[in-house]
Amino acid sequence: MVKVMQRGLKAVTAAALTVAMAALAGCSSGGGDAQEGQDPATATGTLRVVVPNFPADNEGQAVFRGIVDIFHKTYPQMKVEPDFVPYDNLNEKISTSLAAGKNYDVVSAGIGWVQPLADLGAIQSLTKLGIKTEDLEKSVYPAFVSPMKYDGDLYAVPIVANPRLLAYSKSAFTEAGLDPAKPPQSLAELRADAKKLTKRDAKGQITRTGFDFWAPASNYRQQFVAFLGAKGGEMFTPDGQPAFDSQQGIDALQLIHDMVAVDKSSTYGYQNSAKTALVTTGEAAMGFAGPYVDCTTGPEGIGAKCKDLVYFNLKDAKEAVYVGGRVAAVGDGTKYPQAALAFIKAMQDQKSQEAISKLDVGVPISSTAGDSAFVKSNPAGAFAWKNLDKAIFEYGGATFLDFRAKFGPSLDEVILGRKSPQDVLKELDTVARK
Amino acid sequence: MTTQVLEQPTAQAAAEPRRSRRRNGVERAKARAGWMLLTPALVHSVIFIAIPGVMAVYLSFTNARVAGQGAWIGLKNYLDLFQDAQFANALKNTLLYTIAVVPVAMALSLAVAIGLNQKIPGRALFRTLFYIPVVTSTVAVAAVWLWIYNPAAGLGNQVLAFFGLARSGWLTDPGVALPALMVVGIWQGLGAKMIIYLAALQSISPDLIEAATLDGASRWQTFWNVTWPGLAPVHFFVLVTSIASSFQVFDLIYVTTGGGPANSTNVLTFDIFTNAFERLHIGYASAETVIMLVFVGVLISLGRLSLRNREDL
Repeated sequence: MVKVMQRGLKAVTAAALTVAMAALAGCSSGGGDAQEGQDPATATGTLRVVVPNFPADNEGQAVFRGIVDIFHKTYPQMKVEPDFVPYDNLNEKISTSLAAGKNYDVVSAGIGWVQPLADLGAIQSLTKLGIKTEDLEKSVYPAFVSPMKYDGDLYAVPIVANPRLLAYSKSAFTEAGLDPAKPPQSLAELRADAKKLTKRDAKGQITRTGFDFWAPASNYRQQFVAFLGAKGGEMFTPDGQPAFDSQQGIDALQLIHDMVAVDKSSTYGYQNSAKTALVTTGEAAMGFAGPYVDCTTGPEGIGAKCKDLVYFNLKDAKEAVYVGGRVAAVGDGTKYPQAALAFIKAMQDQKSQEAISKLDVGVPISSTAGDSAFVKSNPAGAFAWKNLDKAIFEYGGATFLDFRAKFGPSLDEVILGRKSPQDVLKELDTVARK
Repeated sequence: MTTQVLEQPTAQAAAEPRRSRRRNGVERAKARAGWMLLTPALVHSVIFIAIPGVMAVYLSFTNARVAGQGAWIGLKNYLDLFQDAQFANALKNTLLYTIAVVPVAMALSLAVAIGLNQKIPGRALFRTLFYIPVVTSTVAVAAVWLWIYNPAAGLGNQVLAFFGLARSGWLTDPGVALPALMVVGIWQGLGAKMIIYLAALQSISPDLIEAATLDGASRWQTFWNVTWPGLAPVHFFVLVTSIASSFQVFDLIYVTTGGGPANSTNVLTFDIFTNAFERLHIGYASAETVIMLVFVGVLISLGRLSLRNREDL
């Protein structure tokens, strides 16, 4: 029985152990012997940084080293201890580090994390550290400032934006008898075009997807938000109240269901082995795509296909683009708040933003990035950057992480025809209001 | 004489405490040695089992979002859990997974063990092959099965196509995903059970088999009346470990489906993980863990009971 208990307890052992670790570790943060307030040139110590989605390969490490090099220009003697995690494990890292009393000095996360982490006490107010909202509004796309705030204070700064663009193949449009100069404008047109663009074999199996949602199973959240925005709806009101349980929400969710389960112009949850957008590889005629596309002819690039792709926005009731993004914040309780701010500044550096954009399939967020060679040279990035003012976000309040965990699986219930959009959105509304 | 008679018991009585003291001294030394040998395991058990176990029970009565925080809320987490449709679904999926995987895997592994207990060519190779999935990381195993279940180019759909059947969305069809993972669970657990059964089969005296054969028993009668009863303690061990491991299936779900589609593969351990580390409700997740332990305990007790009844018969 003891053995069974041992096995059964596995799921919480790590969490419970952190409590014991807390007693051992005390409430220290970081390491070394730096004294905040001393000259940055002579400051020593270790800055602990948690960064999601930095691949462990040479490319990912090189990008991080580049950020550290910029940081070391100000803090040459300070060590940086990174913790690379997938987004799926970010909460695990943060919660166990909090429980152990060893919170990170710098926390990088997604836009939706800002308010829950601020509420949890994992990150601290940047306003209190002297960062002004007005200055941030000047340096980044203003639409990204509001998601960085909690209780009136600024808690994070955006680093890169991750929009989900819509793209189609001109040649596929021509082949299907559609005008390649006329992208679909409404959701109804999108559905009709997707049907025409779908190619099937004699058995009716899809050989070319009509519309690719670029989403694994249980993860159609961002696509729903994009359609909701195009319908003129929003996920949450500016004061954090859920607003998606609306006619626009019902229409958006119904459309995804119809395209997947009725028209079958898209295969639910299908992704290629590289998990790249099918429209950029030619496996789909139309679909969601990222804002960074490699147009070279190398192994990673799509070469001439770049010229065949057209990026567009839906303009049903409103022109909208779903946008997520990476942010950076200062961990609560850090001994080195100024060094942490310097590290965040290094992440905001244009070079860093461009390098991270390649890793994250994103686009730099700074207000001057539109003129950069990086953005101009990349058709997807150029289109995305121009349209960031049409951003619709998924984030919403302190309970967002709780909501997010149920959001994707609940949408599945509708997409797969097990529940009605009305029922699911109502259930989600209840979750969001808890 | 009288004196002698009187003195003898006195001498014996004097010697007895000495022997007793010596014996007690030896026993105490043995006990000390026993405790010393046990100490590392006890320390390990206290730190890694008892403390986390007590912490889990304590946290289950709090509204902690991360360990070390939160206020006492009594039974609220438990009451909420009983009204939580996602928890009920996870519990149902876990029970279905256990009910399907445990008996099938036990039966198959026993059959394989009996086969590999015969003198067949390449027996050592087959034993190794059957055991390989056990020593392979579940993540690696899951990656292979992800390819097999790939809806476009996977082996599973190629086999279906060969027989002229329609392609299946193995891991994206809510009606198929859990059975598809059950197959992986059965396959992966086969080797460990097989090796235990094999050892048990080899411990059954050949004399008993020979005696039954000489008495004219058929192969089935020999198996049912000699081999099967001889395996009874092993059945219980395999049953207990199988139930425990099927209740803690996590990595397979995490890598392949993430609990989807539409929560159709969401099992208890995955739900605990989601509540603890995605929703950041460690108190709620701890209550779920306590309930899971109770279920595992009940299932194992039922298994034990059924074997006792069989023995009584």
